[in-house]
Amino acid sequence: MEVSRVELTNFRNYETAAVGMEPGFNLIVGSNGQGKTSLLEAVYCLSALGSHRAPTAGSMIRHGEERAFVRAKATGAGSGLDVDAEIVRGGGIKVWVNKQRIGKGARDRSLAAILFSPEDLDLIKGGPEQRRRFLDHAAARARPVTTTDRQEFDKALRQRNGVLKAARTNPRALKQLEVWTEQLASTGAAVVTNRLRALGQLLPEVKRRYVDLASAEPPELNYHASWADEQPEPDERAVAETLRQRMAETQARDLEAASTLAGPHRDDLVIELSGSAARLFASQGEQRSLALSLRLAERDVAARVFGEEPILLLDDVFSELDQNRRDRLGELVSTSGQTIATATSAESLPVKGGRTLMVEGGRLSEVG
Amino acid sequence: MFAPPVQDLIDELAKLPGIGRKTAQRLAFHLLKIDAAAAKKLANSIVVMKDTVRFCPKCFNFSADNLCEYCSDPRRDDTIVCVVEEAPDIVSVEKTGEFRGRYHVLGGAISPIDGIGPDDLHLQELLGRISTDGVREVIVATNPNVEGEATAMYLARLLVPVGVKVTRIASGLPVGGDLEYADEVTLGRALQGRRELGV
Repeated sequence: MEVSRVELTNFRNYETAAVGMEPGFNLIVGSNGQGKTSLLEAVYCLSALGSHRAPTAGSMIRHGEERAFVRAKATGAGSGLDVDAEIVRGGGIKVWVNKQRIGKGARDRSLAAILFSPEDLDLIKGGPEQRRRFLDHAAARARPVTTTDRQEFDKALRQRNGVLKAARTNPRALKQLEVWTEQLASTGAAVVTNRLRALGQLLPEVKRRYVDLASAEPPELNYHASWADEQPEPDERAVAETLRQRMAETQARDLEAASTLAGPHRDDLVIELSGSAARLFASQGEQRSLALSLRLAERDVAARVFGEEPILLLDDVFSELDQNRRDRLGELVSTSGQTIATATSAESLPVKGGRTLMVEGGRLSEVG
Repeated sequence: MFAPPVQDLIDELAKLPGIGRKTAQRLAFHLLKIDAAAAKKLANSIVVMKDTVRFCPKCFNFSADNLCEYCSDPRRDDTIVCVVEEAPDIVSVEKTGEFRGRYHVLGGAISPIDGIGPDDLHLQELLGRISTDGVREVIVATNPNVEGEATAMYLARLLVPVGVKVTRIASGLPVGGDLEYADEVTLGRALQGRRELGV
């Protein structure tokens, strides 16, 4: 998958801009606040149908405007893709591929991109929700039905917690606790199984990428279930049974707390380096390499799903790595698919060739 | 702001489900233009409906008489009852022409976050019909979402112990369509719910 041209209208600080991209490495340089990340965001939103850094699509519209447009020419699976996006203030984002409107589920027909941004450090340092979402997204890419599984689980959880709350003032509400426990167990089992399958695919790639990048021992990744003593097997029926048993055991405490204390919504993906939790004990550099390895692994797995490598978007990653890791990442991006990276300066970058673009105040120009 | 009578109508129309401010305005302006007789006819049909339509005391479908048309039809099978969430669902099932039993309208699905529990649904009335009508099978046709499934399960736990066969409608692909155009989730669920073919 390669993008050859991107056009922006009223997107963030760009009034109008058009830029060509090379099939290999593309570097966007510029000082802070000039529009480097926004250009990556524009490419990313064609793939994710949303922004990676703003909760609403409207934030991507230039100040004082009502609509923004992103157009891209790309090549996917050997054929040309004309991708058009319209972002309306208060109205979200709509994307067309070759004039056909696409929805979030239509993974095979849209542009595919994986983004690594400085905020991804939260995948390692942040709370468990970030890592659960990482697994859920990876699962959804391969199997769209998993998104519905997650939505149904979230609903069942809200409903069960609703019963637990109502039971405080109205004991009759308890009559329906059992059926909601059952719904939570069955929908939760689907969610957990999806995550475990996704982890099974990601794990070897994460290890390989980390070893390549950091020349160190591979990390260990384990799914910590808040409702089981050991990492469960991806067997939906067995998971549902364990969840059911566990919720029966903790029902009294759940009632006291008016909330479901253990379940897939409290699980974590625990990442360890040399036996210690990376979240707490790894250095900043190790954490960054781990986060990058997770995203690269996500790309590896997505490449198998799509049959070609998604575009790699690297936001301000080189400056944060030491020289060795920078060199290794440079080797990686020179040998696999298309990469669009941002940096504050082109100096000391380990990548030879490719295209360098300069951005200043929402204006793009090609460098040398 | 419009003249008060117009504004009042817009406000009332905007309270209807699926009607936003703009649609309410458009409807009000349309009604302003039509002749007085047509407007009276519309207003009257609303009043007549409210005055005459009742809920069937047996199945809670809408009914102009005492019992609704399905409960009063002697040709229908008493021993099989199709349970739906809302009265309009009966029309959908009825259109299939596949069902000749009786109906029972629950009046919703259990949903604790909306404050709807089993006691707010017509469940006791259904339980009462089991013995008086000799019901042998209950088909649960609640919606295929989390609330509908939880309601179906609640019904099963209520009815199976009293010796009733409880069945759930299947979910899957639209018939006659192409697989190519099926959405991923529906097709994914249909694969999960596949059945074995005999020879």
